[in-house]
Amino acid sequence: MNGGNPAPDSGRPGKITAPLNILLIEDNTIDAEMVGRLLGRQRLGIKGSQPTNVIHVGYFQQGLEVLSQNKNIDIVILDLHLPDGEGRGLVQRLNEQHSDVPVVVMTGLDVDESMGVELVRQGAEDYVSKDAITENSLQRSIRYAIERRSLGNQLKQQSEILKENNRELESFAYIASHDLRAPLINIKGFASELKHAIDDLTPLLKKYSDKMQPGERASVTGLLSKNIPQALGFIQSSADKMNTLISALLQYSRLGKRKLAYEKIDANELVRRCIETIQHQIRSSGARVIAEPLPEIIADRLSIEQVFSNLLDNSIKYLDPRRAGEIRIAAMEDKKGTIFSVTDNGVGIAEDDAQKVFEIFRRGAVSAPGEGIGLANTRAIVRRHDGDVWFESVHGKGSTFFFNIPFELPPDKDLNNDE
Amino acid sequence: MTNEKRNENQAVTILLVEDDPGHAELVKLNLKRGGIDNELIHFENGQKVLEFLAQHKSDKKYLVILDINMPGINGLQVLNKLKSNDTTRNIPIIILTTATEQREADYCYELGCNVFITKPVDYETFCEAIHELGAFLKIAKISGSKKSDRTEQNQYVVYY
Repeated sequence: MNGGNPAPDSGRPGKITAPLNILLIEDNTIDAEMVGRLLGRQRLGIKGSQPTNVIHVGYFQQGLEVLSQNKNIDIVILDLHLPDGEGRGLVQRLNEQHSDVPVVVMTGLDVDESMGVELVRQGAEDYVSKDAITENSLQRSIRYAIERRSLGNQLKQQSEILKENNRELESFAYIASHDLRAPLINIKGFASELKHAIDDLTPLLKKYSDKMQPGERASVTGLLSKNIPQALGFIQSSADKMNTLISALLQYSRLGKRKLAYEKIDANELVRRCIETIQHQIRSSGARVIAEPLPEIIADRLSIEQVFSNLLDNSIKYLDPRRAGEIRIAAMEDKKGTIFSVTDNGVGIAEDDAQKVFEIFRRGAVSAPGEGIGLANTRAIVRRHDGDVWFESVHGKGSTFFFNIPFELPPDKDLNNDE
Repeated sequence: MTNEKRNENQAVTILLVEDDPGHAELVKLNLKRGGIDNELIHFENGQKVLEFLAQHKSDKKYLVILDINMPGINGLQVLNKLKSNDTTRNIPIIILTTATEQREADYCYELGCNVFITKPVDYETFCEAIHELGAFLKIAKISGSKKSDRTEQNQYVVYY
């Protein structure tokens, strides 16, 4: 990671007095002169505060060399028809090797919109047509390109930092869970040892109880049969509870680690299986679960199974015992992807709880069994798919949880078609 | 448990590798409660058990109870070393760990551990596992080796 590399600050209009270093890669001398003239005649930046310094080369390779040697280049103006290289690939090559320097493409061809969009996608900040070039348009292009790239670089750095933080958080949860468990095992184990000790002690004391004063006998009996076992009971059950929480924390921390395997999934089939898995729970709740026709999606199967299981589980847990439960699973599509919804007619979510719903270890005011990680997990999973999860709820009437899965795969993912 | 069974397992010395003194004590107490009173030697890290086994290449039968998460040489490394060495390869190994990841269990079995048990331990299962491994050792021993005549009770030697 190149986190220490500052964004080119000379691109900030109005602040800078250092000259703007422009690398012009253009083999046609007439065109090069024109650009030099346009840039030299009028100073860039706000109210002519910034002098410019144009370095001109005629070959792509020379351009790369200049960039490697001169770290002060603020922007590249690139012709796409060079003796040693042609076309959009040049932009990509520049970006691969010098991602922090913005590129403005200059071309003799009439650049149509689709070509322009394509260039930007390849990594160009902007494009200008030689035919239509003016002092103002060129200046503006350059200034905006530098500013955009500077913001982009900051964003990239921040997202790197964010990723790093996430990694740290995951390993923190993992280590903490293991290290927290070790002392817990002692608490649980030795509480159980004390229980055994009492079991051994009780008959002994009974044997000698006739030697005690009646008051002492009552006190000792009370301690051994009631107070101490009760205390140990609390210690044991708290240790068990703590152990469950640690397991949950571990499970949560593992979410980010597993590699996702994207594949085409028939959501009908997947939801049907999820329902089958919790059939027992559904039956004992007396609820009716209705799945509307659902589309195909591209996602990680295990993840989506978990999401549906969590949402269904949640709906069942928070049904209202005063009316017949009904849970409905549906889907719709918008421009970006598929939006699934799980609707119930349960107790709903109180406004006070709304903010905490997706936080780990938070549970509704209505007590329900569970570790309080279902929805935190759900959110983590959906976000790994570049989607999000949200809900609408009327307290006392029910809730609908939504999550969306984009049509497009996250940029660094492949579709595993090995089925 | 019957005296006969006790004697069968008597020949086996248990090597407990555990850095947490509380965990070690709990294992000892529960083994005793489960009727397993074999000689037990406690090592507080992986290095020490490897040194011990390097020096004791006798015909003595060992059973290793191994924690994974330890400072220095961890349990996985110990397991790997023992299983890749001809003289220690056949020592049965019980992994006893706080790790609950299936991946870790799979890895341990792949390396050749006999039983993988997670903490907090269900000591009934644990003692059964030891009895089984002990019985297994006894059968493996039939060809020509002699029965140990050791009869002392619970001899715990602790190496710190």
